[in-house]
Amino acid sequence: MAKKVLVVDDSATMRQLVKMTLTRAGYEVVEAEDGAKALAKASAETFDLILSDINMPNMTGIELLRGLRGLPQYKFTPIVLVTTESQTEKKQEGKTAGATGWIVKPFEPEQLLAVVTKVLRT
Amino acid sequence: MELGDLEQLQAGFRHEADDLLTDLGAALLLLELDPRNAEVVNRVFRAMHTLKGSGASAGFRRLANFVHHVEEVFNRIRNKQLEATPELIDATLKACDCCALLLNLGSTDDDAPLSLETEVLAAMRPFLPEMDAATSKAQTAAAAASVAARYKIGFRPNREIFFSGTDPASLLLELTDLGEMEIHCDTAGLLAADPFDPEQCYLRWEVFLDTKQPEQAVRAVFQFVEDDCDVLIEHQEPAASARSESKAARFRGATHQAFSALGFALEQFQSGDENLGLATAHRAAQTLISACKAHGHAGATIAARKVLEAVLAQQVGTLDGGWLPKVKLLIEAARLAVDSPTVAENVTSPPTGTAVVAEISTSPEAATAAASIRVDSVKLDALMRLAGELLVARGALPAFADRVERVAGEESCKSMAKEMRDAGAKVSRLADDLQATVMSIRMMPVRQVFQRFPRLVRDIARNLDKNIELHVSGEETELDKTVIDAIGDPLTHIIRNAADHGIESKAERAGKGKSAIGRIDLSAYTRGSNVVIEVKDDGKGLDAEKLKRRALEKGLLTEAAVAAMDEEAAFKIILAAGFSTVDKVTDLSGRGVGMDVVRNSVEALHGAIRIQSEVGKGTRFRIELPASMLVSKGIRVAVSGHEVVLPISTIRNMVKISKSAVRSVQGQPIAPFRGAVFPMLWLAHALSFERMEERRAELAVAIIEAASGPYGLVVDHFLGEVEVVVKPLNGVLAQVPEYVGAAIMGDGKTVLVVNTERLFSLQRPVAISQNDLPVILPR
Repeated sequence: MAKKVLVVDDSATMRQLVKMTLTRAGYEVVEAEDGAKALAKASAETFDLILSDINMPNMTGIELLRGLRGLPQYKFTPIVLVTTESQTEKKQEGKTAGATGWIVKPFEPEQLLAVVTKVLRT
Repeated sequence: MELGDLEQLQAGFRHEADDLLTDLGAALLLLELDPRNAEVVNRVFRAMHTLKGSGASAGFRRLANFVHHVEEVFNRIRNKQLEATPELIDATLKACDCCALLLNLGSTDDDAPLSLETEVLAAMRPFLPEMDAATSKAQTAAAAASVAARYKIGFRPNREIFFSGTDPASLLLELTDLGEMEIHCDTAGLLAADPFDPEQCYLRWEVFLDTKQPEQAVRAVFQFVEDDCDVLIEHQEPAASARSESKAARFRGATHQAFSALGFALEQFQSGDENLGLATAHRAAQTLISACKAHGHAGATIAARKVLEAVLAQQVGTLDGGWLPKVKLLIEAARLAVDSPTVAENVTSPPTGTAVVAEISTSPEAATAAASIRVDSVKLDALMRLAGELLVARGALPAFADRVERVAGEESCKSMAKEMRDAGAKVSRLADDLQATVMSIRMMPVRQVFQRFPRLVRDIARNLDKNIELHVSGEETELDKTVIDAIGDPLTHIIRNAADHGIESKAERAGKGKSAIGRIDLSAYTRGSNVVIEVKDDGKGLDAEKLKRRALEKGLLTEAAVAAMDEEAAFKIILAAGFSTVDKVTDLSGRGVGMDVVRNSVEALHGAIRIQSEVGKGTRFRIELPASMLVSKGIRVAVSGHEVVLPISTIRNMVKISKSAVRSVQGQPIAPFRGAVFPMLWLAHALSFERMEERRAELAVAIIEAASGPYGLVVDHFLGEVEVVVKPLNGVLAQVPEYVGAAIMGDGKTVLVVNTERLFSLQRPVAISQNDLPVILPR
């Protein structure tokens, strides 16, 4: 069965880019436009991977990450943060909060796929 | 990614970027009022951040690079390392304008920087520690060799590793992609665990990997875990060490190559192959720039850039003869710069700010991003037209039912007719709902247009050293998209005019004892099926006499015309093409172009303008527009054996007035109705139809509410209400001001729609003959 990925970003362009890339590679993609909505969706159904932006209104990616790790079904689920160069300190914060990895914006579709395959390997 | 995808993505990004830039503009103005508001700083930062990240991902690299610098400045403001001074906000607003330009340039990596781009970056430079750091880092990292090597990798995961969603096994598997390897697993920790926790990782690994990939690739496998796990990567065999070359030597090598290429390019150029020579020089100069940047040599980078600029100038043909010696000099200068030691650029301290001049108040914006999709408005227009035509076509069903009933006497036919009528009623209801829904899709809040004005007023105020407050209300009032799109320009002209000519200078206001802060009110509200937009200022007001004099001087009007003008008509002189009241032409307005745009645009929208003004107190522009343009209701009327439609939006009442009540005052027929007296106009005359003999004692009159004032329009009969899709007239017919367009009726017949708004003002006075029948005076 296709792996299900939740893509969280307040930018429609980013969501579209990620969705296009992942759908084409055979993943099932669900979108959410902020942390709060993502948390609601993640509670209602289960995802194999969560890809989240950090800087978002309502609930940031880091807050979402903490929220998800608090749910039993997401204890060991790969959660990848989408960051930019200027946010190196965020990587550490994310890591402490339980992020599996990060991908730096801007990225090429191939880079995104590389990260997704990496964390969804087994 | 496929090409179509990219285009789709870029189109999507353009929309998103427009929204972001608008929000950015609004946030910056708020920040100017409250420079320490962390929430607003964050909002600015977030918008830039998204603009950069999404822009780069959608292929707008140049835009992303540009925003990167500005974002960096706001990152420093966010970290309280900098303050948001008015200068900085000025530069950032310009940066927004520049972004809009870059957005239009698309993803082209055209080398010539826009002058605005250079200006903004120059203004930002003092606020940034080191501009080229990010680029140089990326470029140095790019160099990598592919030599076979053996690595010894020690991997000791953190016990908690599972809680970060990481599976150590997947990392080991990933290593197998890089080459041949040998894995040893150390299970000692597992055996010693007491108590054993299944959610912890007790294993350690040692891997020997033979790979042709660079060490970076090996490190990349562990990139997410290297900070919290113990990862030791050792290069085992120091194989062919061609890479021991020092950084400085690499720089020398790269620049040497670039200079040789430049020399070669100049030879090509001289030998007559000018274009080829220039192209080579262009590439060589670029190589030189990136080498200097990568080496962090700011002085050399600047010198190299000058070479590139000279090459570019010649490529676009802006330089004349003496190019060759000039460029040779520049190349020599670059060579000298490259040979000189690296000097860190001086960082000047940010200039101190002056007081904020413009004050803008905006209603607190609720950050409600409604779930929405973007639809091409052409599709929406098509849907709207179809809904409109369905609405009109439904009229055929009941008519057909009537015919069936009339023709066939049988019971079965009657019940068939009834069914048909019921079905018709249902279709009719659905068509109504459909139309209402489609209409509501097209409706957009005027906020879309209004939000650009705080910036406009602020810039004008700052430029002219005035104090102006803009008060906006009714932003949620909805208008059809067509109207929204078209109303921006005229409003800009009116507001610009109010800020520039209306509001007095500080000294003038003080002299008149007026409040130091000038005020412009911009408001919108609905009135019936129309929307009214008002721009009111408390400035010097319009002087009707002065306007008339000016119009005479300019030869725009005749003496007689001026004499006949009332005050409001005189105010409207400012809407005439080629008219300007000020002697001093400013940057902003005063050239006499612009205000006529206001009249033309509003008329094209079937709207009306009123101007009220009082000298010393201020001026009020009132624009009334139909909220929706495509489907409208109308009243079918018969006149001299013809059928025309009057738009219902302008009709206040439909009444019967006794013919004997009509009187003539100074040649103008008038009639009383409900305590008021209205000038009367015979539709037949207005449309130049031949008048039929009037036998009845009562006149059918539509009281029309025109912007110029109400009047009574006499018709032969009212035939009933219709819904019509009004299509504008084309060609010669478009020149006939008496009609706004043609309507297609339910039975497919085309009927003309009367321009009731302008009909009265198009007329010459009408005299009343003895038997109370009007006679048109010759034009």
